[in-house]
Amino acid sequence: MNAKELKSILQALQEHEVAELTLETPDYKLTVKRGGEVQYVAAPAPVVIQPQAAPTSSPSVQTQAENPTPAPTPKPEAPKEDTSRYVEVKAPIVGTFYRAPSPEAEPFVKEGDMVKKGQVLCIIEAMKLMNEIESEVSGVVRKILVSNGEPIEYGQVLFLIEPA
Amino acid sequence: MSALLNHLHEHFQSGEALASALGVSRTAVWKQVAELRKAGYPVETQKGRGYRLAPGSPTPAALEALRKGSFGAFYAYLGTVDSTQEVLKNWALDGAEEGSVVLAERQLKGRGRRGRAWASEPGRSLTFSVLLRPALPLSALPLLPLAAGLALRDASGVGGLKWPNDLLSPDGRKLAGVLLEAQVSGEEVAWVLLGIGLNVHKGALPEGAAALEEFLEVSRVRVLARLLECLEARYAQLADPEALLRDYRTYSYTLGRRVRVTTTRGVLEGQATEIAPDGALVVQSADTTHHIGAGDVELIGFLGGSQ
Repeated sequence: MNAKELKSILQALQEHEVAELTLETPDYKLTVKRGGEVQYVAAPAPVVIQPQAAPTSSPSVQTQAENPTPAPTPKPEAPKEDTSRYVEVKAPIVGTFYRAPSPEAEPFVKEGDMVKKGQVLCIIEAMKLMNEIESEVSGVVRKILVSNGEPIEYGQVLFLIEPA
Repeated sequence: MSALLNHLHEHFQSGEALASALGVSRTAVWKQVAELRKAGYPVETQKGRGYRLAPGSPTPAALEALRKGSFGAFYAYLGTVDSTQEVLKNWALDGAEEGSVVLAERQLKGRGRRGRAWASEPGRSLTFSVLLRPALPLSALPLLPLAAGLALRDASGVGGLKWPNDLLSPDGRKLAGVLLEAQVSGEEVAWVLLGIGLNVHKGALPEGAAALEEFLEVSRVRVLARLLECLEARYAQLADPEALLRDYRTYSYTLGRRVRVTTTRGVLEGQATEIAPDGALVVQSADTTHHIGAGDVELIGFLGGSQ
């Protein structure tokens, strides 16, 4: 790749407000991240968040039907995914977690979706009070840590969002 | 909204009188009547007497004459909408104040828990939503759904509650249901949309449903005014959860009964023994005590099945 090509890639990133781009060719691998950081990442390291208090009557939160991908072994040269910047969305109430407004509807958000501050991420039901939980930041949904219909505890982390 | 609606009430008026009041022709009056009917407003005609709204129609003027508290001070009486919850949500976004009420004669997308359909018949039921803006954090509001159910029982004066807030007739048929939707950011509650569907007059009621008029003499606007007053009182009582729970237990049709509960985790059966301080239903099965925060409750041996 020459300087001109690189420049046009960077320009395109900026114009389309892409936060991150990975380009892999037989010769090289380039990862560009906007916001001053440039990172080289082999594969996204899995984020494992263990809720402090798992509800007594429910199976472990780790078994997620929606996320069956086995955790890849990180390559030695791969730095760990930087999760410190991620904003945790926690449950403000004990209840049942729903990803969609009704059983037939599309989920509010999926992993990788861009969300705006104030956008609804999920519903937590408690005694038939449907609580639409808003995102407090704009950014990208990196992880959804609870599966649909699961009982959740107060303070349990539901989403990880990378602020834009 | 048609200008004619503001001139109609429960006494007959001739087409001629209405035409001159509105400054339009009699044909124009007739056209507006047709439009109002199409939208779901119960406009009645009698030969030689003219037009009127069905007695007890919840017009703004009729409600205003009966209103006691602040709930309903801002009120819209609509014909056909997708859902009153949707209309009120837009009001909330625009900054509407607590106690604002939207009532519609017909909902195209009326819904209950988890997107289930809620049918309402124009002129026969009360289908409306009330805007709440609680100053308390979400964690202090677990009893709000029970308070709403209790207000339904207070205002109706008949029946009892199936946990958490379905109003059942004494023979176990459903009189009313509640849907609460809150907008939450962090711990803050921006607003709560309290939706209520109450069957007042008998029409083509679905199986397992009952109407208030089977038990009492009622007018829709009187029930609405009373219900808004009771809602406001029970809402204020959230500050005294013990008293609220005591009253709730008194009107429970669920406690002491065998119940079947369907949750996202499956179905369980047992004896409903208690309402926990957080409003959850405690169910005792052979070997386990279940603390139910969300689910469909069926009262075994009682007509009113799951909602």
